Amino acid sequence: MEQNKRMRILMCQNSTEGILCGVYEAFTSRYGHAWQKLAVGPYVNGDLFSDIYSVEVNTEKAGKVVKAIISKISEEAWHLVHMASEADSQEKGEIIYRFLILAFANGRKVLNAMSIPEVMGLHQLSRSVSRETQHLYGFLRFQELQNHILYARLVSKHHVGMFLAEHFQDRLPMEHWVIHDVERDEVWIHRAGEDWMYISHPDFRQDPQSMLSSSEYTFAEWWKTFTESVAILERRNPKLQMQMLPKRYWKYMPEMFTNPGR
Amino acid sequence: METIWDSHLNEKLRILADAAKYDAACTSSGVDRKNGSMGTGNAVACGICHSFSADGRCISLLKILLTNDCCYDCVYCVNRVGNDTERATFSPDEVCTLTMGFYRRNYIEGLFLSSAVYRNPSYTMELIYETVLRLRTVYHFHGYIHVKAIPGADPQLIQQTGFLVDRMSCNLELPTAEGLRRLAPNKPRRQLLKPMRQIQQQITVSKHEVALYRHAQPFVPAGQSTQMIIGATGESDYQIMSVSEALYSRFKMKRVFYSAYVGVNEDSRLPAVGTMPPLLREHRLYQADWLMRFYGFKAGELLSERQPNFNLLLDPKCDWAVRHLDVFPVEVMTADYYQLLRVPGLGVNSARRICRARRYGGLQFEDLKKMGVVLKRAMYFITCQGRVYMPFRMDEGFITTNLLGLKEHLPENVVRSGDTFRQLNLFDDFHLQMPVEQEDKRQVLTGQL
Repeated sequence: MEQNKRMRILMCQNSTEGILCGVYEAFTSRYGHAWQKLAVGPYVNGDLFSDIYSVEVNTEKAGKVVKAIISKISEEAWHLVHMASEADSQEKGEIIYRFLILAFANGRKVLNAMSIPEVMGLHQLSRSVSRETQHLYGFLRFQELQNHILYARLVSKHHVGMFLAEHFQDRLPMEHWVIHDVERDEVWIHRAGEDWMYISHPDFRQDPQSMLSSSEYTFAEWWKTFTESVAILERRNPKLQMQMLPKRYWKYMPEMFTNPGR
Repeated sequence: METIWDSHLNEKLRILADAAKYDAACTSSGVDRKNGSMGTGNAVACGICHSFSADGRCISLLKILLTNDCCYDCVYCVNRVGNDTERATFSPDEVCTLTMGFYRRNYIEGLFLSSAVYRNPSYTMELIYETVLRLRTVYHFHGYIHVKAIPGADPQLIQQTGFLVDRMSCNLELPTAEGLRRLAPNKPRRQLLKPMRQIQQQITVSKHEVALYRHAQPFVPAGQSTQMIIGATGESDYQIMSVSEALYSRFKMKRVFYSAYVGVNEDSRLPAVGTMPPLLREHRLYQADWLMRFYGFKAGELLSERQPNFNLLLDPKCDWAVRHLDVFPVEVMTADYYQLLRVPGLGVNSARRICRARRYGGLQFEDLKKMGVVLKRAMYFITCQGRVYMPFRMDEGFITTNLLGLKEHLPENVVRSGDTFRQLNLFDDFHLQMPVEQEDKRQVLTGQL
């Protein structure tokens, strides 16, 4: 009968929860790991020989998977899976799924087996997400609005807004701040002294750029002055600068956008 | 009214950031401190770079002088008393406004406050202390602060400041006492070492206290650092590395920075203004510094009286490896961590990954590549489950030639300024290592070398 079995593609929502639910479905369906694939929506390239199932998002199921990962593999594994699930990649669902099959069977030590492609793939994916997060810890820029709210525009390859919100929650706990992912149209809002909240497709009544506080321009100007005078001209090296601070981050950095090419 | 103050402050910032730029230290690393939901800021152990300036150096801290109005007359310094430069002084409040404003906008990771010696050392140190105290207690700033300990200041002041900041540094300025006597008459070496020793002892005491009592205040938790100017006086690399080694072991320094001398003053005792800063040499010193701190090398292994300077063509690790072919090749599957670290092309990360991965199964050369090993360098020095990457002659000359053929990944500016350097030094340096072979002579003639 095996020959007639058809491939199943589980299409899940493009988010950590979505992928975890996909994993849950794949493990509980008992259809056989070899006959299932995990793909990340909203569109999937199907073929004649496989059926596409779309997986509903269910917080409870996702929570169960997280718990299983932490207790049966390790905290570190959950950290890696979490990071990887926010990557900008079509294969991430499949990579995480294959890794988890291996890891649930072998336990925590599997993380060290860097020579296994499934493990290496997960490491690479999570490393590239964490690298961008680290970059943006530094390169994200807030602007002060009239009502003392700090507003930051974010452009990133991977979906790192949540990690940034966690970071700034600890860094600026007594400030109101907003991190706005411009391309994905999502915001992370933080009120002084409270936990951050996530809102997708926010409805700004007024463009934040028209509400900048009066001192905003002055501080940006001072900052530009500082970055210019702290450079040693005898060692001028735009190529190294570009290598360390890639151009895709420049868009919202006040020291970069008025004098491109410096 | 406000705009006048704004442009006034802008002017001060320009002058005092410019005056601070020759200080190499701009790291914000070494301490992990949660905010605890009060005030502004925290610190992250790995440090965060917030921007990169036109010279490609990281900008992490607001690096400024409190004042550049100096009463000393150090020959190499822009701010020496005899120089006709613009002078400016920040008030503590101005420093706090800038720091807080920049920090809230996520421009910076914290403050690096240095200063020229204004009136006398103790007076200057007191100004620094007041500024930092204000920042911590009035503005509730919990971010990273790095300040200079002014040599000759009252030890009491240095101690009080140390409880408020994350890192303190006291610059050694020049590697030898002789150089200091000649170029910095107001800073005898003994006086420079005194605050270093004091900070070191206080750190030891405080670590002990923090371990015992929950509310003990940590003293300079990110440790102390120092800086030396390279190329202003005639020290050899061996002397410099020995000095740093002593600083690391005897003074428990977190970092020693090397700063290639940039000619700013016209003086017969200094290299002429307009000489290119010795960037490649600085780069080699940093590489060697790394080898000492993370790779378990000793200064005496890398250099000696007979070979007092680094080979500018070959990085210190490759250089060491080709001179010690007797310890190679090492077997990746069995060599211990420190043996692996000594292999060119392997770094701390890849060595760790290898140690983790080989417990699980045999490694192939392809796996090593994925773990970040630079095989084109490492291939001469390792075997993988008894196999070599490809057959080659295990011979110093052959390997050196091949390693030299690889394009080393140098920071851009080093390559640029090093081009002429490279040609000038090719024969001197190259043949320090090995005798001229018939093969080389032929290659030179045919233009291959």
